[in-house]
Amino acid sequence: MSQSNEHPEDSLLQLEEELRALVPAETSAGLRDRIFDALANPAEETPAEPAITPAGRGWFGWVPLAAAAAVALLAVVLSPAPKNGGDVATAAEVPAPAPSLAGGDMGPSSWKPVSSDSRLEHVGYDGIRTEESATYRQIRTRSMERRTFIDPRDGTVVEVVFPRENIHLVPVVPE
Amino acid sequence: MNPSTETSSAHLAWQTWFQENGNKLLLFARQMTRSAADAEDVLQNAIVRCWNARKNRNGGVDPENAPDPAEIYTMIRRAAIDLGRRETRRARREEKVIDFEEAKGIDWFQCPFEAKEKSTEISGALRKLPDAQREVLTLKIWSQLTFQEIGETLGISENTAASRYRYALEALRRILGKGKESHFKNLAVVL
Repeated sequence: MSQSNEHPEDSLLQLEEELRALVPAETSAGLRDRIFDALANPAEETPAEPAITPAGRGWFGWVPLAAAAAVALLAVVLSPAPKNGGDVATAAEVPAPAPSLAGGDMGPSSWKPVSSDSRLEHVGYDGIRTEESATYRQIRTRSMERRTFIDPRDGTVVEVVFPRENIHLVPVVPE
Repeated sequence: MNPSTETSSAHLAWQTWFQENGNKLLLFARQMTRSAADAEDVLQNAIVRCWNARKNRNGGVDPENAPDPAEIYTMIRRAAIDLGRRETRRARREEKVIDFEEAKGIDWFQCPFEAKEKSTEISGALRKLPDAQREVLTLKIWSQLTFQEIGETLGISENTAASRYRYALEALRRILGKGKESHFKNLAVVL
């Protein structure tokens, strides 16, 4: 091993032999466990079906329904009582019309926004999407937006939650 | 076969496959990441993606359908690129990690005590190679892929893969031959 090699090809072959003699370090048992736990409980990673989740499938499909239910509930709780009959006291306590929250608009009532918080809960690579003209990487994000409103007259607080899921298409530029 | 039985069999088959291939997959992931922890995350992510891509309509996975080499290495590479993009803010901190690994002589290979110095020297030299050369070298030597498979994995031609391999070996020979205390001085070429 002390003599310099006069034949470049020989020294490359010798180097290849030296490299082949090295054995990659072992993977840890912890890594194996983590991987196979992830396969057994596929919660977070890329879903089997790529592309945009169709409406009506998965939790995203519930978003329109949840939003509609929230608006309906607010309408029932906050709308004024009928003038004829019913509990007059209740009507007096809740005089404001339901705020139009679904559109992100406070409406004409006395409801005041207290807080608005948007939290990104998940960012994941969602595979490749190939269109006729281009190829894109799909990045799926899930966020939860919470808006809180208060009626200053009686202190009633309403919190509205908007779950969102977005697919971002990032063009793949060939190297 | 019902989906759960099918999936259990697939789990066993994939565990065997991982037992045989995990070391070299992790070595490849380590070439493309800044720390051992990142490499493990990337490998896990790639395997889960392959698994999910194989799920049938019932959620089962065919036990016979383990990842082929070009596919899994491509997945690892993509996962590493994605991680790199996400983690740019951590880059400075991670650079310190790789410096720390190098300074501590952490190498990427298992070796008997008497070969430790050689192994550490090669690990250090590999870190100095350009990324494009190092990934071809790793896939050729330790993953034992053909140049065609390497080309498919990296999205380059077979000839480019072969050239990069040659350049990588030559660069490695230069790096290893330079050190005064090198175990590989004999590889230095007399011109």
